Amino acid sequence: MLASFDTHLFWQALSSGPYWRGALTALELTAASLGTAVFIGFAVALGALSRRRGVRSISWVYNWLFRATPTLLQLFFFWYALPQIWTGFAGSWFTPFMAAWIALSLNEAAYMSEIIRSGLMSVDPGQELAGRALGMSRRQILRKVVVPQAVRIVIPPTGNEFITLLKLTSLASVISLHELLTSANELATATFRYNETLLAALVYYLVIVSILMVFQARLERRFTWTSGRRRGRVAAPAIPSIPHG
Amino acid sequence: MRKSIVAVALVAAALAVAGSAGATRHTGTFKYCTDPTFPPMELATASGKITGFDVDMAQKLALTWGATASPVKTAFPGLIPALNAKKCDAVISGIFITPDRTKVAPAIAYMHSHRVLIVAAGNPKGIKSPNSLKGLNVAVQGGTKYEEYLKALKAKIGFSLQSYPGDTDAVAQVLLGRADAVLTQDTSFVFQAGQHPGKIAIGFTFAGSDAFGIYYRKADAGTVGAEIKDGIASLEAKGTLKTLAKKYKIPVADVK
Amino acid sequence: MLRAENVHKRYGDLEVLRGVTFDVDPGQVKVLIGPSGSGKSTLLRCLCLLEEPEAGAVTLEARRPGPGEVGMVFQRFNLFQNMTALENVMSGLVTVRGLSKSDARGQAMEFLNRVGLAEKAAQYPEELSGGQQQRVAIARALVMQPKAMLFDEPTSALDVELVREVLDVMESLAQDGMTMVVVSHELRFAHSVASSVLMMDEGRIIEEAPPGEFFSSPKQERTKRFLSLVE
Repeated sequence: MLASFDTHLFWQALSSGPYWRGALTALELTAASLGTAVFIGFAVALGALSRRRGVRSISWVYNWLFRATPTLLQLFFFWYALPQIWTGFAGSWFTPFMAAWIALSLNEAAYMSEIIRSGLMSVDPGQELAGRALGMSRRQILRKVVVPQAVRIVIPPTGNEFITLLKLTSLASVISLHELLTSANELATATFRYNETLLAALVYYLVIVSILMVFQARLERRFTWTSGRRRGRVAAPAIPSIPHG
Repeated sequence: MRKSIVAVALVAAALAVAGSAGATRHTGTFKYCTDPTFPPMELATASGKITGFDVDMAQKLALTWGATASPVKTAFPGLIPALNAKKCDAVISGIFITPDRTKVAPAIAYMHSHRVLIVAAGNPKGIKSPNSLKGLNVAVQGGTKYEEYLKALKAKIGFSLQSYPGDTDAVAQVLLGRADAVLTQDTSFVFQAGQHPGKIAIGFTFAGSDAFGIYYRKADAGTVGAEIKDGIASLEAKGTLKTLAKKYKIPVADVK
Repeated sequence: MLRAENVHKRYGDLEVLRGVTFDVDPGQVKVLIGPSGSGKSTLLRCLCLLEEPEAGAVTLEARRPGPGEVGMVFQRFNLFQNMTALENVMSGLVTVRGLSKSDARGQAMEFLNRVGLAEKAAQYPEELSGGQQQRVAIARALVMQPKAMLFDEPTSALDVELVREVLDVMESLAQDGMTMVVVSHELRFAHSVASSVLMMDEGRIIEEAPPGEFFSSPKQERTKRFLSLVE
């Protein structure tokens, strides 16, 4: 006997407050974590490319540590272990969102640093040579020439990371963050109907990812350096995405 | 008393038939779904083995019709759905009998107990009733009736509520100092107080009691359902459940 | 004026420059030739401070060259891919000399005009031919008003038909009195504008002479051998 699909429940779930708020929370957490991860990752990437071995080792250790440990473990650490080190972390100021944001940022930064490092390395070394010949400082060259070109290269893999991170946010439910999957699960257990409730959650994820893809395409076009006519053709070398744990 | 003797006789007769019948009767393995995050009813040891009152009871129960019990680890909110999806033939997981659940699957009661608000030792926030929770931080296991109750209460008086996958996770929040109270069962308190002596206390005990039940599929009423009914009756007659209660330090009066 | 004094440079175990002394006076055009690995490019890079020698010194008017004072044009142009031709030429003025964008724009247009590419100002390097890119690169270095210009095989990466336009710009620069040091295989260019031609081999300058003398009667055996290969 084929179970029927309760379309009314589906629409109800789709338009419900908990779903909407859950999706917003997931999106906020993703954006905040990726933003922070890019900053930290950039610093770690520069460290990895440093001429001083001491600085390079720090970057190496960072990547090693945060890529080797599962994201879930890191979430647990920030939520359960920290208060044992300092009871202040048990206070209400340290919300599940904040703990998840910190854990996900630090975790994602390790992956981003490798993507950014590849991007920086892919920029033709001749660019830096020309800059130095003109008398520019290394920092100026980085800012005005190398980073803009590296950005163009890292946009696609970073888009991938956004999507991965979006899905990772559902892990935060184990430290009591109320996000989209939590809402879906709650409705499912209350109604004993999984098809309709989970499909509605799926729709939200699809919509978010679709919006991201549009943004990514726009961003890529902004970083295509051709005037007018040949817009849309991006001739940047491809960097494969780094698989996640 | 007589009913139980009759029931035992019936089971014995049925068992005799079972050997030859096969198809409709249960043999071999009795699979039951359980969420081992609710000590002392069910918990997972460091080696991953599942133990607890419910586990022992399931084993003794299965023996009454000549089978061995095998737990199927399932997250609490997914217990009844797993039952309906035939991942197991019964749910034994310190789960209350409530009308919304029995609408979907019938249940047989085997134990009563009270809900409690667990607080830090010394009850620093002076939690003497549910209304004392106003403005405080409360932890709870997600997908439970505890959570349902607290959500309604939160809407009325206002406090912060955090939901966790396991009951133990929620109690941990009180031990960590993050939550001021946890709503759970007195069975849970008994266990946790034993694990962390002097760290927690009961702030408030709810008057009404809940019945823990064994759920089975509606369609199996004549087969598995009947076996379980008879089995529980038999264990009750033999006083097995009371012996188990003593083993797990659960008040003997609470079990059948 | 621009001088390398007994410069030594090594990369790891490889000694690329073994005590090179070289100088060029204002208005002179010196052309360096020699087999690959002889250290020509390395010498050029030392002269504009892209490399630091292990021993010896590089001086401009008896002091260390300042930023942009010695211009460099590379074999592979090295134009900034994320900037238009005009922005490329402006880049040094804005970043190193601290000019405002509007001031820099005026000067940059002037030099783009000078190399004949005013109408390509808004184009990106991706859209320009090799010869055009190299001319923009020359303008980029020129706009800094350098005391000397270095050219590291400026036409070697160009298709044959594009070589002329670049050499024309270089010749016109030489005629205007720019001090130039050029590494090149374009011997006709050397003939027409060089004050002297130098032969480098294995990290040393082994011969120097005005072009007429250099090409018709080279003194060193290695020079003779190299010229017979190249001509």
